Amino acid sequence: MKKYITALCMMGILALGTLGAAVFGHSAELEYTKLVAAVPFTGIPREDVEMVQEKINEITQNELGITVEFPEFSTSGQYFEKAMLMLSTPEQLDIMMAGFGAFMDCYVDGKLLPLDRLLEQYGQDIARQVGEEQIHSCDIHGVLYGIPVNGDYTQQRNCYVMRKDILEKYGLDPYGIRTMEDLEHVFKTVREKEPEITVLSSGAEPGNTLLSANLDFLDTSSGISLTVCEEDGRLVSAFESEEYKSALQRVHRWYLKGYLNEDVFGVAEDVYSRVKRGELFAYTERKAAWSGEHENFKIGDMEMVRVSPEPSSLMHRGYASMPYVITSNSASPEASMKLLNLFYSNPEIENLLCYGVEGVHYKKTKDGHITHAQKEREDPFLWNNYNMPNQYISHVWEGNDLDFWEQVKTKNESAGKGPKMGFNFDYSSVAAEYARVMDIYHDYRWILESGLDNPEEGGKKMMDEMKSSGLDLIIREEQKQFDNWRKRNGKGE
Amino acid sequence: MNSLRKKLFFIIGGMIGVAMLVILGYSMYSIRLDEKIVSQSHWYDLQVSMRFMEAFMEDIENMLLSDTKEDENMEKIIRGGEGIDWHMALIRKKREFGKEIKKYQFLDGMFLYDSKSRVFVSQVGDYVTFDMYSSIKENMAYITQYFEKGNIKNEWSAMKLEEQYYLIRMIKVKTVYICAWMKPEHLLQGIENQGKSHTYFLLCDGRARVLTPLECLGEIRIEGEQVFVDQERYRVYGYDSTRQNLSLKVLVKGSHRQEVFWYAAFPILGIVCMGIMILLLVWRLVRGVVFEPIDHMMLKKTLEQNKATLQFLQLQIKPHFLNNCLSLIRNLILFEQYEEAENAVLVLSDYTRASLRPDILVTVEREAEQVRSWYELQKLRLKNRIHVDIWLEDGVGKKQIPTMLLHTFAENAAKHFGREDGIIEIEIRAGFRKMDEQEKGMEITIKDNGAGFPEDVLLKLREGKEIVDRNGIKHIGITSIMKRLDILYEGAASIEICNRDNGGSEVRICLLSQPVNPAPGSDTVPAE
Repeated sequence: MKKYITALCMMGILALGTLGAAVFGHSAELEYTKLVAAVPFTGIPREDVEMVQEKINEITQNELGITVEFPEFSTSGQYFEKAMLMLSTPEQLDIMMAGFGAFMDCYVDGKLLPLDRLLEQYGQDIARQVGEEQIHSCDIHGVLYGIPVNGDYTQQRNCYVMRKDILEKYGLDPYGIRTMEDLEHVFKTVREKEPEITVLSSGAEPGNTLLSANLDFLDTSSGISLTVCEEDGRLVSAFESEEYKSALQRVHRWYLKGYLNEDVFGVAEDVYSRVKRGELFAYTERKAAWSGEHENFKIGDMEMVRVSPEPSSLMHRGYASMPYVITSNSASPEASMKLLNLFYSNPEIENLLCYGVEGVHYKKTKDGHITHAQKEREDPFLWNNYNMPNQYISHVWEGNDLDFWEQVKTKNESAGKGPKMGFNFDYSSVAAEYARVMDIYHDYRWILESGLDNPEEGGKKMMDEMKSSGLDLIIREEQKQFDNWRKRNGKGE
Repeated sequence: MNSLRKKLFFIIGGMIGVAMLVILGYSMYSIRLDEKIVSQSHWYDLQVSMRFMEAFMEDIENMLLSDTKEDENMEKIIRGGEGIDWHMALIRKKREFGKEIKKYQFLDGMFLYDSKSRVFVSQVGDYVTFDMYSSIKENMAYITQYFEKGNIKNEWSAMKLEEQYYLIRMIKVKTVYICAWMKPEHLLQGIENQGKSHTYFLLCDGRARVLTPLECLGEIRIEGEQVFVDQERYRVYGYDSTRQNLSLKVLVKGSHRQEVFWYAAFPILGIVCMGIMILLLVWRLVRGVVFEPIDHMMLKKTLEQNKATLQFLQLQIKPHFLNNCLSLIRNLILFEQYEEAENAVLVLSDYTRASLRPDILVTVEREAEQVRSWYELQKLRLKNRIHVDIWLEDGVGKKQIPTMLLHTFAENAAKHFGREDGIIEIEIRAGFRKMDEQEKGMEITIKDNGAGFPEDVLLKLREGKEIVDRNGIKHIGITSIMKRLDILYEGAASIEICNRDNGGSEVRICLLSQPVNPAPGSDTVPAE
């Protein structure tokens, strides 16, 4: 009898257990809206990004009932390629950072959703945080398609990063380099004394060439522009401008002097690896002069110094250079705008995006700054924070003043703004010509901007080809849109 | 009863043992079968993967051949010289390379080398490190020499440059070499079935060189069906491409038998455990379900026996008879017939002593003696009016029969004579039964010349029912005998009672076997 009772009891327990597990297991799955946000985390290890994703979800699930997912390619080096690929499929992609020219490309492909109404309904905090003028820099034909990030938009033109040790070796004072002549003098010395080292890298990728350091229209943070604006509001072909021509001359001269011995036809390593290996003396960049980023820094074991001889000025990148957009592959534009709103207004989320998880990646210091959490490991998110929506509400890294972001705002205001800033050229009506012209440019720049060939001859050839491919048509269209934009924004003569 | 239990146990144990052997045998057979299937499945998978790679490599070949048709760019390049046109042609070729690399997932690089001007145009994919690119660039002379020797003019081939292998497909247009290449490791990535531990995919060339070496395996050549790495045995499954000079192999750790053994061991173990549990269950249940009822039955039988014995004992004490005898002896003394009185006392004492023994079995001789004693005592009363004749066959006397067997019927005959006058004649015979010259038990007959049995009594006796007379007194003599015979002979004894034609009754008792051992606590009477 006892045996039967025991057996029955055990079976009962087993049955109840399974039933319970089934019930509880099921109820743990609540319904959240899932959004896919392609926030760029290039080069950051996947596990760290997942930690941040989890923490962010705690907040978004609580406040909005939304689960956020950062797709695989967020950490990949081909962020933009993969993002564009994803857009061409029906896969869900709600939010994206469409910087570096992707903004207009996405628009022309019809992949962006207009944001005016959404912003009004769900993005009130954004409006407050970002500011009218900034937001409208992302208008296309007067309709809003993107939301700019809050951060440092300034760029120092004409910067050169050099190896400090070589400068010191030959008694060259970096702070004495104030003009281009001074610069060329340095190059000459290094060329003579260190024949094995390449003096200057001409850069392999667009945006990294010698010219893009100086010429705004080649600055790819907004995409290459085919025109420059004359004082009278007239747009002329950029590649025919004096600026471009003289820059090409300079570069060709440097090539002939042997400062650039780029393997144009082969494959180039990135400048950092080359410097580390001791193969390169200097490279050029267009850098924002952070006070957080010292003018002295290290690449590997090499101490580097950055100089910016005249003509150098602080330029504004343009608020449309890095906008956050809601794509046409979004599962819910309303939820996406709500999420963006939270991203722009919630400091906790912002800090997670910019710096990682507190205590794991960064830690607070006594005086209100933050720094690396562990000595052995740098905060992997640190150099990526410029991609994030609203740095103004994030922490201040040590070494900067506590009112750093205020300073940034001021700097943004004072930076030089080109006449075309805030204007976005929609090339969809001349898309075919535009693509062909761009193609021609991408061919010729290898030989022109590396100084390989005679710029006059080469430049003329390039212009001929561009013109026969419809360049004038493109310029006319752009002029039309530009005039409209100026009228709309009261920028008449 | 223990033996019964053991028998049951062994039977069931035997059945389970046989079942297990059958299962084991079948498992061995299916392991062998499984080996074949696994081997075939691997081969098939490898074939599919290899076909995929072959197709890919052919696509690239075709692309290469069509791209290098002499178009404008190629002409310019071949013409060579200096200047913008030439540069542009090279640049355009480079950009073309870039597009092709993006198109083909596993194409790692393309280059062009002009032997006249020594210019090297190259583009690489994401899989390629700068070191790989440098290897190729710096070994250009070696690569072109190798090509010229004729080894790789029309097909893909594997080249080793600085400790790494590259799959190269090269063609030559006048003075210009154009090449598409890939890293075999990258190609392998595309078909590798990740997730299985201790399974390694390797790409080998026709000369058994491993193109995608793995650190954990070290330097090995794959030949045959198995290979040893660090004392570990690996099975090799391979598929050789028919179209390219490549072979795809997969190494699986451990012997198949070992692997499957673990799969088979658990179910077998499970069955064994189940079998043991069933056995234990049977052991426990049998006790309750089978043995106890048997024990119960045995108990009942014993009880019955004891009851019969009790009844028998009861019969022994007959105060009525004793009183009569004593009266008769008293009379003899009164009539001063002292010799007869002394005789009578002696006979009575004999009779009583024998009566009071509680033995269940007694020799025929003894029983006959008892009947004679009773006869003597009856003569005291009846004088010449009773005559008992006993005849025993030779040898029967020593045989055992239940006590009171003869006496009961003799007494019965005298009691139920029925008439006040006449002579009571009782004839008792005991002899062997003979069947085909074989002695088969005993036959005892008791005949008398009395009134016979009434029909209803006969009926009741035959049915084994109790006999109750008009006065409500139970007559248990004969039924008691019948019960005892039943118990002691277990059906090998029978009693036939019938009335004789001339009057009187005849009782025929057949005892076909020896009586069984009586209930413990009694022993037989030794012959006096």
